Amino acid sequence: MSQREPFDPLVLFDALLEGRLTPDEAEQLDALLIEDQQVRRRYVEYVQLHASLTWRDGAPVAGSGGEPDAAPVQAPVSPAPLVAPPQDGPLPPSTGGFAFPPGGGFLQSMPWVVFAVCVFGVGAALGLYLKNSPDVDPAAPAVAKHDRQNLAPAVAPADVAAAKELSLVSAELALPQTASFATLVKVSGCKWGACTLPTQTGSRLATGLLRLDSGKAQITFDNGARLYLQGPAVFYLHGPSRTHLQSGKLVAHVPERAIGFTIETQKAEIVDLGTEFGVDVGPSGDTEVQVLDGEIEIGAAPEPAEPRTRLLASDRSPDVLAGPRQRLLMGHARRLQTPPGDWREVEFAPEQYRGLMPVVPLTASSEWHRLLADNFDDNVLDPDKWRVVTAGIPKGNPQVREVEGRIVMVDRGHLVTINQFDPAALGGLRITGQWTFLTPDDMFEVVLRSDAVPGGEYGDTQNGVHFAARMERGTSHIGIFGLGYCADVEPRYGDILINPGDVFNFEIFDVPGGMSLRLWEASGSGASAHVHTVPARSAAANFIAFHNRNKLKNTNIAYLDNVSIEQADGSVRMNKEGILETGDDAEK
Amino acid sequence: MNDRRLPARFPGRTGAGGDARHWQAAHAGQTPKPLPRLPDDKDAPVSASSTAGGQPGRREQFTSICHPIERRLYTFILALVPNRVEADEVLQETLLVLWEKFEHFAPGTSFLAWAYAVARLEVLKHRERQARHRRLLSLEAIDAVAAEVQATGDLLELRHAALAECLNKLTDRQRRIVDDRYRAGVSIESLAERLGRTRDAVYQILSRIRRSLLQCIDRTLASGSRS
Repeated sequence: MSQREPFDPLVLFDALLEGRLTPDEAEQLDALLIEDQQVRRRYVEYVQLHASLTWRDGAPVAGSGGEPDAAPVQAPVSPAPLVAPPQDGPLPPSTGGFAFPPGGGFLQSMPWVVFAVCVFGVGAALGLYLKNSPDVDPAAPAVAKHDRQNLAPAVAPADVAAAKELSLVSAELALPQTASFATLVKVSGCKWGACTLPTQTGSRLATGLLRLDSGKAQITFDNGARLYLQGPAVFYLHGPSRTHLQSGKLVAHVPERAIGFTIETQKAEIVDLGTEFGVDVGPSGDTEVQVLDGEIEIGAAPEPAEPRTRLLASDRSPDVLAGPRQRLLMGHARRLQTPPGDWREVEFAPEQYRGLMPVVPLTASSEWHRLLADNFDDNVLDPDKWRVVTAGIPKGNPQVREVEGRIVMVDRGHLVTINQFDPAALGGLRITGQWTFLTPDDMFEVVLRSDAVPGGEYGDTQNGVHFAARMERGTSHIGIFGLGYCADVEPRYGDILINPGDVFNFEIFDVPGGMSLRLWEASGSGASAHVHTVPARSAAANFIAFHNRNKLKNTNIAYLDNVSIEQADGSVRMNKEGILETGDDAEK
Repeated sequence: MNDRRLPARFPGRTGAGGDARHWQAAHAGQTPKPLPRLPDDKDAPVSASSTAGGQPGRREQFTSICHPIERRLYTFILALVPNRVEADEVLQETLLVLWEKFEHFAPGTSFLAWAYAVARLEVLKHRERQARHRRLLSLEAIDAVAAEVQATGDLLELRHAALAECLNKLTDRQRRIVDDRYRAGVSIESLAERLGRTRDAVYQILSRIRRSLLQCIDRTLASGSRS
């Protein structure tokens, strides 16, 4: 989130380590390393890769002389472009002898980087695909063409001149030079088809085409909207808040600040009003939409005659919507099929979308109202939701970092909610998420009703109810206990088998009548355990804190992911057996 | 589960020398262990190679403590002096200083932390000797990166461990290029000649291989480091 420009720090790192950095680039990189922790972190990881590769038999293998990384090139001598024409792998015949923008600095070179990644990442098929592909997705190239026409005047003259030296195909590819507005955050098992955007994890995305043949991918827009795509899908990014799903399936999660985010298909247009919804587009453009949460507005796709203006005005929607519009609330589903050409009610079946999303609700969503959810996929800790507490933790190197799509919990660093969640006032709380035990002494701990102030010899939270599981050699333990002003909670402990590397889902309830902690292995096949106790009296503070164990012999590292905090909606109680009762059951 | 007495497995909770309400107390007997205390020089085996440092046996001690961290030290230095040849020089200088000052090293403290501190000073000295235009990173960036390496700590070790498996996933051709370049130290020119490519193309090939390795390591760690 800290960089808005198309940006791949690895290109700079490469140039640095190869001694090919120009003075301008050196200055830029230096500033990034000072200011941007994410870049710094990636830099360290990249250098470590170099070091590990170089290291042999207890000593680094020095490169032989006469090459750039044997000695740094003197600054003024090296205006070489950062990205050379890649020649590894088949080249599209038409790209022979293309030139790079002369004198291009880092930023000017970037579109070419994007270009290079894409062309050579997906092979030479792209040119053929865009030029003449009557048999594959005929509409996708058409959309791309509209956009090309509209974007062309915005391209810098120098780049146009350079582009003229490219073949037509290359020029087409090079055109997604608009500022990027989204990030390809996470991919799993992805096979990409021909695309005009980079497909590496972490790539910044601008206007362009993505073709996901199989697997799952997550795109996070700078405005906070998240799209979870499942292949096969053909997907076109129009702008910061407008996309086109040609075919395939996605779930859109749109926060309040991105209201108005629009997904269009060949036949329909879906405008988000702050919600979560699933869209499924068939090969013929038939569109089904399921509202998983909140509210959306649906309508027919704009008339084919006006796509150009619509594309230009892409971010002024929804007032340019064509066709009758209707609002659709959570729990409803519609399908637009031609013929007959109108929206028909279909069965609400959210299950089909659950596999796409990292957060899978475990309880019927209608009973619980989500207060906070974070899948930590944007690699920046959301300051509206979280703060990190490391003061008062005397041992080890306590840290909390959002990296690679999850939270890394090091030693006893505390991740604490910004808001307080008072279970008594809210009628009950449910906290879910995923914890990966990584190092042998890890301890999963979530503290409710807490002031989240670490203290004492171990830097543990001094006040609150602790829901914890501690890895031991042999049988590990799970437990609930109160400290400080929650000391009157009756402690409960149980056994559980945990090994380093195990991924556990957790579910915590703090509801009238009881509190419980359930842990079960995410694979579904391994260990699980459940403990429960009676709630404490009202607490002085109600922050929720997550932390690992303080450093013992070794640093403790665990991962936290997919945290959701929900409020009980209606009368939820826990009975003496620790079983949750809802609605009528509970009122008896 | 309804037994209010605590399981014997939570010794801390029985009040044995810790906060009875506190799980951590269970580990009162397992407070962070310092590095193994160095044996008294008198007890150390005498080695014919032990000439530097003045005392027989110390070289063995030094080697046994220093050798396991040399790669981490090299990573640290390479991050601050991002040039392989120069980083190697600084590493040699650092190891020399560590050896010369080894008698001042306080047993029980972290050798790695001490080595990092010494290496940082050597990096700064090296920088002082350099012509201004050859200085790749500013002092501020050096300090930020140094802190980052230290903060990243054991995670880097996990990444290093993941690399071996990722190298096995490369194609034969990629693997050969990596071996030539990194293991055998073959120059870019020679590689270019051998592959029939331009230098730039070779840089690009290597860059792509490193990216795929980086992503493979990311994935390995993200998948929970099961092994």
